Amino acid sequence: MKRIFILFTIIQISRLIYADTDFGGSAEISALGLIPQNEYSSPTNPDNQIMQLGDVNINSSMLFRLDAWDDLTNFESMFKISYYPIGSLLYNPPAPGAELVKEMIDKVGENIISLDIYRLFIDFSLFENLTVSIGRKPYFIGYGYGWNPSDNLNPLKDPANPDAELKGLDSLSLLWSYENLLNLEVITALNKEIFKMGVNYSDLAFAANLSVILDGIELVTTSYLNLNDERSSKVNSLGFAFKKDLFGMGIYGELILLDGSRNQFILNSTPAYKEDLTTSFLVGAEYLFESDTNVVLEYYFNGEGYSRDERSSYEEFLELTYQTYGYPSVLHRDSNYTKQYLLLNINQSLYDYNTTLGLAAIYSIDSTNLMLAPTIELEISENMNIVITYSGQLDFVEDDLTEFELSPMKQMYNLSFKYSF
Amino acid sequence: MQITKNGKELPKQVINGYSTNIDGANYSLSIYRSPKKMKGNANLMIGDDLWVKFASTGRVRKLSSSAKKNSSGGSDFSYVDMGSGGEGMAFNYDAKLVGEVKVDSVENYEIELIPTQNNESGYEKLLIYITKNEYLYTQIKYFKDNSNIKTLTFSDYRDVEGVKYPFKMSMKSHIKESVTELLTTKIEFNSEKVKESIFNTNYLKKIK
Repeated sequence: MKRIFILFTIIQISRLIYADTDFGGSAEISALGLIPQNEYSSPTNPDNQIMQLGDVNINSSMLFRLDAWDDLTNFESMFKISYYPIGSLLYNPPAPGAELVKEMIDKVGENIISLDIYRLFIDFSLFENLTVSIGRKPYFIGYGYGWNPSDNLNPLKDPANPDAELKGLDSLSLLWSYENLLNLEVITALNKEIFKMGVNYSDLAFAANLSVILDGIELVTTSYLNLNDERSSKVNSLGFAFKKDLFGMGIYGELILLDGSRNQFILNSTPAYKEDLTTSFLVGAEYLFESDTNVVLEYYFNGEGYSRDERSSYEEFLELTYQTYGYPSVLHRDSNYTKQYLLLNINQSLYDYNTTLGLAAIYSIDSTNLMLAPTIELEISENMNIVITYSGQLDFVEDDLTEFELSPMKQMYNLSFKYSF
Repeated sequence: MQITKNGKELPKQVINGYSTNIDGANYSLSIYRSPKKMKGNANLMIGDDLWVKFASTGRVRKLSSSAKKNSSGGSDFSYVDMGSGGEGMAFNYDAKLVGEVKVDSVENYEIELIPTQNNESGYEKLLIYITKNEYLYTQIKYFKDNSNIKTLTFSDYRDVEGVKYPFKMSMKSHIKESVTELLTTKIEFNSEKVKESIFNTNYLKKIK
């Protein structure tokens, strides 16, 4: 299967030798500074033994894009090379196997350079309205800025990490479109990374997205079918989404019905998936004022979030696994931890000053946890920009069962220099 | 497109524009070629609907109609000004001949356009100046809150395939120190590059 895939890809790439091509990318160097609180100790990082966080971290990465296309074919690739001083972090894990990790680091060095293949795919038109795609391709599903509950194909969206959506899925897909009115996309996706593991048929999942574009409204249905009998984080689902223009405002909504939960809950001190029908939904509105201020407001009901009792069991589980195995077994994701969230996103372009101001606020209604992230983006030249971000978790009640209490990094700032070429 | 703000020229924006009319509806597609940070961004307008492709992620988003009144790429043109939108001037405005005036020593008709109910441009009225001898656009004055907020001036008319086309359009704001010049380097009428299939959100996703 792997050989056939590689051969097919090479044949398609060779068709593009005489096509239009485009190469570009960006280099980014950033300094992430943490504001020390509790010496970075939290239930997910007891006494800072797990993450070994320092006050300031310098990160650098380069993103490359190579695209080529002709009338019938389209090739797109995106790679990221990152440099991590991660060795020191792995030196002292109290977990079993630490010695092995130490030996490995002694061989490869403390610094790790990683190559991430974000995208590597080809589209080709079989007929005017029929396009086949193969490779690692991104699929953007849903209208929400913070969350996309109707999307069960991609990994769970993380509003704190928008770069995550750059990475595509290993897939084979067929897109049929009827003018600019109707799109039906059938996708066969691999649940495992193809170059690492190879695949079995049971690793395949099928998804179908049908979108209808009518005057002033877009409607989308999504479905997902997992062939693997073994219970995993991938479950069958049916989703719906819409976006409607109302009084100049973009009103949108998303809903998903899941055949069980994709995350685990702690039942009798043991992690387990829920098998009941699970529902999540989102409603949102966006408006661009004449002052160029863009405002987005979203309410998200997370059917897979933890109730207060479930959060209590989970935090006991974190402590138990830390005492037993030497590291806490983390199951949750920030901004998906509880059941109800509000998001406010404000962006203001100041064209006269080549500056964009942004504010993202995510409030958990259940735990009263507030995440605030104001941003300033300065365009220094045609190719260079500087982004300054502060990100902080706040809570307003004395409660141990919040994202604030779980997070070892409660407040941080980031200074990023990005050069586009 | 050259934007000048407070006397300072911003990086020049190079745009490929495609437009057509299908069954009475205007279709337009604008693709940014430079500067680097905007390269691959694109706007697609079909009638009154506007989609934007963000090159940094590849995501295509349908913008709310409030966005169409706003600046396109930081310029003095709004999305509506750039794409003309809807079914054209005749559908979006009621026209009335106001009089005859001289613009740069040339006799012009002065025509007042009042937005119809279908119009989402956000303007209160437009005054259009058209030469009496050749029916060429000379100026468009945009009004809001009883004030002339910006003026679009057409110049450098050249003959292309028997059609006179303004190779320079200059939009000057009267409420801030800003001018945007739209300079056409090449134009093709009835071009083979303009196919119905490019005015499509699926094509928008493939734009580099």
